[in-house]
Amino acid sequence: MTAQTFETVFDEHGDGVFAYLLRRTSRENAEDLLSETFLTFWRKYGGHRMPEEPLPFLFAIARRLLANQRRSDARRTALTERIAREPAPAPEGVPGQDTSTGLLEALAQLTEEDREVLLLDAWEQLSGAEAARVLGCREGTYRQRLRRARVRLSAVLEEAGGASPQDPGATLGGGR
Amino acid sequence: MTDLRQLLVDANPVQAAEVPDALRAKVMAEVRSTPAPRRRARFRWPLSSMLIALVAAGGVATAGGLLISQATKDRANAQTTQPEYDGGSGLPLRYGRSIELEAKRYMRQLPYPPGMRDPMDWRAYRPSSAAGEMQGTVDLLVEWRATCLWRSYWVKAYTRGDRLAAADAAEILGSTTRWPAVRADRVGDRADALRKAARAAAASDVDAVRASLQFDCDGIP
Repeated sequence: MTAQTFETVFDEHGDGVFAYLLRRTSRENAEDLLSETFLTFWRKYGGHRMPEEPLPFLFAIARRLLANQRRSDARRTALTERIAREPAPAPEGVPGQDTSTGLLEALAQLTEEDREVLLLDAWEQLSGAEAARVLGCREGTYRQRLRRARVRLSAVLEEAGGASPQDPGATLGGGR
Repeated sequence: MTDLRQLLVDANPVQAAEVPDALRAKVMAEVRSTPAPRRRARFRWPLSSMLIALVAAGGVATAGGLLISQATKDRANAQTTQPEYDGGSGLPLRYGRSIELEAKRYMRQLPYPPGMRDPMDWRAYRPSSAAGEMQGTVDLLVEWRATCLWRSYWVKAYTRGDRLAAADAAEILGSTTRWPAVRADRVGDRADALRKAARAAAASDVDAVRASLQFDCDGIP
């Protein structure tokens, strides 16, 4: 990968990686981590053959950096958790603020692994193969984790009396 | 009936994001100042095959009651523990090319201060094989000398009040600890020295940068 190719990769995926980070941490951290993510990518692939689909690799780097940062600084609170306390305005034509807030509260109660599996699918809109690459597992394993995470999220929502599908098995299936 | 996945999609707090221009420029500047890494040279099968052949020959000869001279064994051992460079010929074993070619190739990848070039006579350079000397890699020496030029450039820019040039140099100095050979250097004190120099430049501590130049860069213009 030449510096020119790197620039192309940044222009194609910079916004996506930035959004991924913004969904999980503060803007200030997201800016630092975006920079570090792409520098790590450059250090790894600069001057060498680049992966055909760089996005999952970039997400994987960003995810590791986020995890490192959370470990080293427990004071930082994930965006999902903060939003659960400070409800965000609901987008037009979608379920109301209460539903989103309840959902984000429920998400915050899941393990980091369950949450990440769900969000890679719903927020990052990654295919099964791409998400599996981010998580460093097989696609089948990812799909299994996704199913289980959905069931656990549904259970948390039901317990809280929030918006839960009546039949998780039937309605949560789908996926990408 | 509510679809949980759709609910999650709708709850996405950041539907889209755009990297600010300043952040993009910062990343590009950092990448430009970080040389592309180079993969380690692959294991040299021909050399290993020779060693295997030597060992095998020794075994066969011993089995046949023949004597292998101690000198041959020593030579075989020496090949496995030889330093990266042959101090006599100056030929690097790792790259299979001359020091001059390697130095010039690597110099093309490093950023240098405007108007400054490393005048080192690489053709005449012969690395010492003594332990502790900077003979680990030519790349490390090339990087180290480039940092000296950047330190020198920073002092000159700062002294003449060129804040922009000094800021550029300080930014580059801040990236030198991430340069591949410095990062790979197991001794580690070189990275510490560069970190201190970079901090001094960022803090506009001209005396400290001058001191690092005198201490680390004696004889490097």
